[in-house]
Amino acid sequence: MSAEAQVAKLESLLGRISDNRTDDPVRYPDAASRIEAKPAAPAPALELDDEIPEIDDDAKTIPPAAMPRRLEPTPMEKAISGELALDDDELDDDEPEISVSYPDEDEPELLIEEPEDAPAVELDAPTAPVGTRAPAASASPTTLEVAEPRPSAPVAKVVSRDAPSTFGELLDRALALRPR
Amino acid sequence: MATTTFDPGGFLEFDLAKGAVSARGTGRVLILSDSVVAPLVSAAVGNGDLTSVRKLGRQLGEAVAEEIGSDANAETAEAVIGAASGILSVLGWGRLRAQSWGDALVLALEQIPHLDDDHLGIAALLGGLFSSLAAREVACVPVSSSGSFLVVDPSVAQKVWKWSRAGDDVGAIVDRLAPEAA
Repeated sequence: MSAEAQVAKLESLLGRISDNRTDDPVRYPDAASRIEAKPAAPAPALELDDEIPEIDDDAKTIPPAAMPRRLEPTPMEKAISGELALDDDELDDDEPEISVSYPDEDEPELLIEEPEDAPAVELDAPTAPVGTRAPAASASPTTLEVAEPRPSAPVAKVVSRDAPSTFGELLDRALALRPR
Repeated sequence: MATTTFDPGGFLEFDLAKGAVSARGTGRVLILSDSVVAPLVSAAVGNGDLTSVRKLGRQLGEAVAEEIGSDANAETAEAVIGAASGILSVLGWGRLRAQSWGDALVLALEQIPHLDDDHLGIAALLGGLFSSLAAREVACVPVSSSGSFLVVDPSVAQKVWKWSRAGDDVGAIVDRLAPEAA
C-alpha cells in the first residue's frame, strides 16, 4: 500500500469517527430503542446424508490395545507434570496460599492464608548521634608500655617431703592416714 | 627397700637329745603342717578372737628386733623390712615385700600359706609383728586376695576393711585416705 493510500484510509477513518460523535451523553433507553431486534439465527440443521452404520460384529472383536485409547498419560506428559509439581520446600513463603472450598455449590469460597509475618526487630533508640565517619587511623601505632612484674617472693612454692629415712618415720606417715 | 641384712645361718637349733627345736630370739618352737594350723586359725577367725595369732606375731617381732639389735624406729625401713622378711621366710610364713603408695605402706606376702579365706590370720600375725617392732599398735588390713595388707592405724582398720570387701583395690583405697590434719 502506498503512502497516499494509507493517508486516504486514515482520513476516512477519522471522518467516520467524527460523524458518530455526539455532544450529548448516550441515553441507555434511547440507545436500547435504537437497537433493532434481530431474530436469532437458526441453528444449522445437521443433515446426515448417510445413515449411521451399525457396528459390525467383527469390529467388536478388535482387542482394546488396537483401539486409539489413551487413559494413561504419555511419558512426556508425566515429565511435564513432574516438572510442574512443586515440593513444599520450593514454595514461596511470601506468597499467600489460596485454597478453594465449596461449602455451597453455587458460590465457591476462597480461603486466603497470609504467611506469618517475621517477628519485628525492635531497635533501641540511639542514645547518642550515630557517627557516620570512621575514626581516623593514627599515622603510627602506639606501643603500650607494660611493666614487668617483679615478685617479692618466689612465684611458685613447691611443697615436697623427703622420703622417710627411718622405719619409724615411714610408719608415722602410714598411721597418720585417715579417710578423706 | 627390700635390702636384707638378715643372716639365716643357725637361726634354728635342733636339740635331738631333748627333742626340741628352738628359734633364735623366740625360744622353743613347734614345726607344724599348715594343714594343721589352718583349721585352728580359721576357728579363731570364726570366733572373732585372733589374740593367739597376734601374740605369735609379737614374738616374731621380738625376734626381728633382736636381729636388728636396736630401736627399729631409728633404723632404716630397708633394714627393718629386710629383717622381718628373713624371719618370716625361715619360719615358712612366706616372703615379705613392702610397697610405698605415697604415705601409705603396703605389705605383700608372697607364697602366703592359706589359713583362712580372707587372710585375716596372716593380717593378725603381721599386725602383731609390726606392733611389737614399732612399739605402738598397728593394724594390717587385707586389701587383696593375693596377700597384700595395708598398714593403718587401728581406728581406721574397720573402714579400710569395708572398702576392701566392697571391691576397692589398693589404689582406690589409698586414694580414699589422706594425711590427718594437724
